[in-house]
Amino acid sequence: MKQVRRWWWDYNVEIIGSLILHGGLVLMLASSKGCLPEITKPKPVTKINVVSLGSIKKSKVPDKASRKERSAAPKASPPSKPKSDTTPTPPKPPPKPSQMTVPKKQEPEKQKSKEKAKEKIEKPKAVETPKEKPVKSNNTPEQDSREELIRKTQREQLLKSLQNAPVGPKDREATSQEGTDKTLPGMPSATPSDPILAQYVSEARAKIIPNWAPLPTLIEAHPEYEVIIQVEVLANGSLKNPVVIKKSGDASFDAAAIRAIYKTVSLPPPPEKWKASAAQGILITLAAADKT
Amino acid sequence: MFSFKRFLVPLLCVLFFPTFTEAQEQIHIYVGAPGRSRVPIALPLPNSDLPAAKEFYRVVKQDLELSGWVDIVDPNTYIEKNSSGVKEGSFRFENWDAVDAVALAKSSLQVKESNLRSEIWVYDIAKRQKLGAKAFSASPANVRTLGHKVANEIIKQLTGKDAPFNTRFSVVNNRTGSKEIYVMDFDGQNMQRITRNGKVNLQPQWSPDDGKLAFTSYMNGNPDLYVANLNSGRITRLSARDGVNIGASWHPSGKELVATLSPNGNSDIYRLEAETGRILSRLTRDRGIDVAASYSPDGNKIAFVSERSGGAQIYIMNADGSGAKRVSFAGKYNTDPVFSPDGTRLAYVSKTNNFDIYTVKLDGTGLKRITQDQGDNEDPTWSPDGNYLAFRSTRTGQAHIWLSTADGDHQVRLTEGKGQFSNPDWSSPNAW
Repeated sequence: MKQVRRWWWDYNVEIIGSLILHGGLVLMLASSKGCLPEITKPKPVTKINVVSLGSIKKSKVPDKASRKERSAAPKASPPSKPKSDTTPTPPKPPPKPSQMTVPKKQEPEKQKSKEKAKEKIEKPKAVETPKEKPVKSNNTPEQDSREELIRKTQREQLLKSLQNAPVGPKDREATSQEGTDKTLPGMPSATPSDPILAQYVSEARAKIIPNWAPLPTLIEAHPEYEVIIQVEVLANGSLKNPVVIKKSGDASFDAAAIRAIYKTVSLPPPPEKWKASAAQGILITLAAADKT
Repeated sequence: MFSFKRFLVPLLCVLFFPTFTEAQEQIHIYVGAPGRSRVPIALPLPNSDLPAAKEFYRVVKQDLELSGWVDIVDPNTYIEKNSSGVKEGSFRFENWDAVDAVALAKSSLQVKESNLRSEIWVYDIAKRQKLGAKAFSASPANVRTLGHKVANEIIKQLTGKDAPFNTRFSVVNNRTGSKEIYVMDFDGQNMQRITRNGKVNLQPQWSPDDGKLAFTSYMNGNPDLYVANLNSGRITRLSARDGVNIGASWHPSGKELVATLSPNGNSDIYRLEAETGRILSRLTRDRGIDVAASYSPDGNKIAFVSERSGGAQIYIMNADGSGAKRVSFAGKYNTDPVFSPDGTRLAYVSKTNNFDIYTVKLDGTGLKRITQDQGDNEDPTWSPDGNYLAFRSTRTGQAHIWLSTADGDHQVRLTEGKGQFSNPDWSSPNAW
């Protein structure tokens, strides 16, 4: 009797199927982050809640990321802001750009050790930063001055982290190698094909631009400067967890970009179809010149 | 043996994979050139014990606010008051981090050799870097002038552009019951009366050296042209021919003017010698009225108003009267053209519901409306740097001089006080 040759996978269809299924899921997961190479990219060291944004408190159902973050660092949760319900503008003193986290770029090997050291320094800020923000009207002057001192110190540290970034042509070369429009995850073309999205982008831009005020001399001298910030947009349009994805390399320009996002406070509520995407995070490029 | 399971799993992966990737597309908002967004700056009080420091600070602050370039962050939020120094190292940048400002402008005011002396230091707070510093001095009576100079320097350091704070206006005001010529500071202060004839005096025009004003006056019953020497106070008659003698505009050389005369009954544009008033040439010869002539900054072109095609329209011709071309096509009544300092645009008045200010390129394209039907807006004049326009507006009921950025985005009132203001003409910096 002729013996039919049976391959090993004939015995293990279920196992192989399971492997393929899991492999497929991994692929899907990876692709959901935008593109495969991105999965290997280091994630931002920390994300800090934009505690000063008036509408954050209104979000009744925080997304998973923020819940996770809060459970990991309970002190980092935004303090309650009774005024936020009535006043859409940020309370005084105004929000500090320095509260944003700047994720490290992928840099040459030589800088990695320094980078690690920086990360170590930066991590505590994420935990501490929200402490600086509680706006309590019943504070004594001493408490206020103490908070002011903490705020100043933290801002100073974070500004230093911005300033320590390489400045000048080298930095810009590095960023251009990283790419912006092409390699960033899922970045759509300049004009979205979806007319609803195009309208939304236009309205959102109109809301940001009055707050976009870098030094005019800087714009004149460096039309190539741009900063990319990722920020989660909740269903009501309020902004959350801004993270600088790409710096210009100029501390002043970077600070102005961060200030623009903080001052904007909220964008129009995203269109229904795009709410999930917006909650994951939108990219905002603040540039010195219009796109040609 | 065929097993459907072998194909099912990869098939599912292939089918669902694109769906997931599409749902994850990320929204991207590109915010380009900020245009005229106001830069937030910190402007502490000057480092000074002098009583004049308050007036000095008020002038600087007001100029900056008028400029439309900056937002001055509330001084109550400043940790550091005026006690620290202005130079690098004499204060702590950390104290200014908490202030939500991009730049810091620190000034001092002292008496040195019986003059007031001010230093202005402008810093980029995020970079902890000086953007620029300069010192100015003035006599104690001219503390306002000193303030204007310091405000100019702040704008220069922040924007790289010149500011017009240290300029003056010639204007017409009727606060005495008659329309007289005055000159005043950029901010409407320090008004000085030039004519005292109790009649109607109109359309003052600064000479290129800012030492004289040509104007139209009815002091002898007929509209005639006169020149006031601002240094000597002497007023001389330029043209008192039969008919009208109106609307003089100086050639950049200061040696001649163009004006509208009607010695033959019809109003036409003539060139006049500045010293004697002698007619050098007649530039227009058509049957319609030609008025409101204005030289280009290089003196090669003349903009004017003509009714040769029906209604009043703006034309440009060569300085010798040749090659007249129509510039305005919209509306039936367009008048008062004035060249921008770079010679690329004209500001003029057009009547729609009310009178409004427009600017347009010399070829008639790029029409831009500056005022939007807020009362009557007339008599436009450009700042020497071309970044601003000033004009007469009745939007508050009373006729005042208003300032607008050249794009019309930012408009503020310059003048206060009695009387109706009209016919502003902008001097060059540091004018008489």
